[in-house]
Amino acid sequence: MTLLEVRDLVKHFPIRKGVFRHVGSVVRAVDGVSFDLDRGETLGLVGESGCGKSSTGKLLMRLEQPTSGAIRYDGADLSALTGSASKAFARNIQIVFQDPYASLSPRMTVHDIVAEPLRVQKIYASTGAAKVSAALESVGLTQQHASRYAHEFSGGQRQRIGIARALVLDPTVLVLDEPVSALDVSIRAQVINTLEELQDDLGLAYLFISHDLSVVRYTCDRVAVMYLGKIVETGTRSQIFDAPTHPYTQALLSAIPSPDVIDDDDGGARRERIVLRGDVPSPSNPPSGCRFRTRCWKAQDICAAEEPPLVGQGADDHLVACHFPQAIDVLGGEPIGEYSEAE
Amino acid sequence: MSLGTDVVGPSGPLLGEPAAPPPDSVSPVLRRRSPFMLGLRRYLHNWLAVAGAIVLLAFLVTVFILPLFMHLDPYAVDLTHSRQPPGPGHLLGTDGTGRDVFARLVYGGRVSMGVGLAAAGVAILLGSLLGAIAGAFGGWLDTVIMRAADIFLSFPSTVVVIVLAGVFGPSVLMLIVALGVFEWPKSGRVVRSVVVAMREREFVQAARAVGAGRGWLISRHLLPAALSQIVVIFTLTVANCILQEAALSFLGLGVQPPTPSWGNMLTDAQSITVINSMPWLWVPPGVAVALMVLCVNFVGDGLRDAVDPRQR
Amino acid sequence: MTQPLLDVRDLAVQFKTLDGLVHAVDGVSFTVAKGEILGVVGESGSGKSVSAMSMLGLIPQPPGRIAAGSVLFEGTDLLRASKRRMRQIRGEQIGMIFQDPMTALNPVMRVGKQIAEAIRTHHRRTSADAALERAVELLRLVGVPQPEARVQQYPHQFSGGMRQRAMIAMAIANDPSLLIADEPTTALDVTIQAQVLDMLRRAQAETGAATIFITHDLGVVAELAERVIVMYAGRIMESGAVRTIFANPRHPYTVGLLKSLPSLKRDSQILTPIPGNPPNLLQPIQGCPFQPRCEIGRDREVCSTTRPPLADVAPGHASACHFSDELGSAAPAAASTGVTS
Repeated sequence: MTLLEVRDLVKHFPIRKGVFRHVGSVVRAVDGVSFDLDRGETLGLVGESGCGKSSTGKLLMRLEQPTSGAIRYDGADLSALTGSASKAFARNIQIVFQDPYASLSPRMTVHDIVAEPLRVQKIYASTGAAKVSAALESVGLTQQHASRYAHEFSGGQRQRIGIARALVLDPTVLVLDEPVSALDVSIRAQVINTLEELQDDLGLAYLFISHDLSVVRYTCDRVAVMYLGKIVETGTRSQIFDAPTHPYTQALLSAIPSPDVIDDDDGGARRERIVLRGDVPSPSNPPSGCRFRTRCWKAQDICAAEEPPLVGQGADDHLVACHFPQAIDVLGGEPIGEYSEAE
Repeated sequence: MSLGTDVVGPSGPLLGEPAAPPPDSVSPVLRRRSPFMLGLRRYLHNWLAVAGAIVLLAFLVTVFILPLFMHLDPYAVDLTHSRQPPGPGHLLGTDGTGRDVFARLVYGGRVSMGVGLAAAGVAILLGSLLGAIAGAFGGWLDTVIMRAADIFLSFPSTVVVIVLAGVFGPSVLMLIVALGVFEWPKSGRVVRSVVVAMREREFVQAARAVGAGRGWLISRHLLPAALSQIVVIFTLTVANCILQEAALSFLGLGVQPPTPSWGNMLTDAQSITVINSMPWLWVPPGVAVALMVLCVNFVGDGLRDAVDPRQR
Repeated sequence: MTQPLLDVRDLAVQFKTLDGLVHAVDGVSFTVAKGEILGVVGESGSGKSVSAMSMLGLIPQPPGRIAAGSVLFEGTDLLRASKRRMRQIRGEQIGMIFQDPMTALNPVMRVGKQIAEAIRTHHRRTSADAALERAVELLRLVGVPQPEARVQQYPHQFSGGMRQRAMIAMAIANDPSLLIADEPTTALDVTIQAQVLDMLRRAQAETGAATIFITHDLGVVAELAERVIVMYAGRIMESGAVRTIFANPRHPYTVGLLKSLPSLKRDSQILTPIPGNPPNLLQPIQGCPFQPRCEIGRDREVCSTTRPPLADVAPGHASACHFSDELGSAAPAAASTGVTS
């Protein structure tokens, strides 16, 4: 069942200039994003920096107010919530941040950090301490850890403290904003496994924001690819990784270096290299029509004139926003034919 | 497919632990170190700051505790023994009206340091509150408060205090309030910038994400984050206020005799004769002010280094 | 066998901290041949950056201290060379590329001028105009579009990827025989990283410079480097040709790393994390630093008492493990994905 419905979410940040700080232009961080999140599923939101994925996460958490668009949780529109209803709603969706060193207060003990949500929501009184212990246990930490300060822990442990804090209010949805990107690799697997276990035990839905497609492949059921504030492709894991259809998705998959060298020996050729031209355009001045056209090797006149809609390709759940979509198994090493590398 | 970009830091299990290492254990070296303890350790490594703190403490003890054990009367006038050099009965001699200089030095210390601490207290209280509000709320409130701070900073405070002294008559209370009111912008600005920097930090965002309102954020996160900076500014403001009080009392616009203060003890030194031939009248209070301000500055610098967030 | 370009022997670097002496690099030896690309891979705290920095004399001493070792570069021991000689070598025979171009580039000086300066510091007689021309050429070589215009711009007008290219241009300006790149693409987006790596490969091919590429990204090393050394806790755990190491790792740490990485090309069934945490470098480690987390060495006494030497397990493939013969394709490999098909 669908827990979250996001429709045409838009967030523009004004750029203020001058002494009187009048609005010069806007950064179109999120520019019309729509997706659904079902109970118990993991939706990956991927893209490079500036694509708007973190901003989308913040909008879901209502840490930022959307410029327009709707977020519905269990059918109810979130923007209609005010006052105490709004505060109480925080119990449903929680967030785990990227930087384990900045996301925990340096002045509070671990117990207080995890207990804070309960205290803010004023439900700490009778069962609070027990809930904190339970949350810490569920991420593999013990009572002994609760009286320590955050700086006494390693990155992986801190991230788990952050997860415990996110869980203590019993949410149904967790927004994970690059939860393992800042961790050493031998620690990442620990945290990823913890997240997987928790999802199985508690039936949580995850919005997994990341730029690391290998981790996304492992954890996510469905994936949405973002570029410059828009979703360019959405699909199941196998659709996105085995049959990427939007040129940006293909370029992204092709660009990621991987130590999976064994396969290359089998097929002979390494996978096809797509190296994009140029840099990402500024989100305050995106290209007309299709935003990816300035770096796309297939771009034609129509791409500048008309923005391609996000529509189904064959399968109804595989949506692509491109005028010339073509599924290519980039990772499998299929040659791209006439659309070869753009450098 | 990457290994991570953590900053280097000691952590990890004790070597020689039993067969299956626990997935998490706390570093033995950093155990039991609250942020306060870490700061204290750094402070204690700075010998100048420690020396300053020791001398400061000695002064405070002398000035507030000594009179309980020694009989000192700063008000006893004895015109037959005026301007006597140090000798039996008068450790530091007597002043123009025969009052004991040492007694006046000790009691004057109470006044000077008292005024310094009180004025700094007023300044910090005002500054922290206004700075936190400006930083946390932003918008027009921020602009109004910061421009007010600018206005106060652009006033020649000494001149204004002199005018106020003329209008309301000089008194200790007026001195405290006036000094405090002119010193608030410094702490106000610092607190505001700390708050603005902390506002966007992820742990503050996390508190917002669970429904915390501005009041909670300010009292639980933002002000405590600024606390270390506030303490530093407090000590430096105390030094400044002691100096200002001394200057104003020297000019006769601060603490009025017969109440002793280091500043008005220096008033005597306005004549060349005194300076040349009666050093016991002006050297003790002069040295006291200078030493006190120096020590407070060392302590303040030491505190600033100890709480430097870059050293975390 | 020809003389290696760079010959590092038993390098040891320590740092004095409030908590004690940190043994950041603890007996590291390796060589770099002319024109070869060597990847140095490790997590944070492995000592990879410190090794490179100490080779170039860029570690502040104190609190750092080069406790032992020698670094022979074209006949000169870099650790014992005079400051003047080091200044000569740095920027001319050895070029450095750092992670954050904003700290390496002067924000108030035009990019072209900075590159020109790098040239003229080592070739005094080059005129300003000639140096600027060369700067334009270099920018073109590294793929910066419209180099004549770009050369007059300031670093903040360049994007992240372009700044990195500018830094690479500066590093290769004087035709160094060795390039040391310390996490040059870590801060870049994946598609930009692909561009920069591509360009690095081409620049290296054209100039014939040897490259030491330091990174935590196993994928980058796999795609760029010919040989790789894997570092952990200030020591080398394994070294060899890239394909050999990734296809047939012979050290439990490397095996553990590869098993804990989710695969991009295939749906992984399970990730096996390496339990525990990296060791505390404040205490000198007697045996193998990986032992507490090691599947095969955890209960073995020799692993905690004796330091395993970096020994050849095959020609050109060395591993610092007492029991390396229990690993590898000949040995029963743990069921995993990403390593064996």
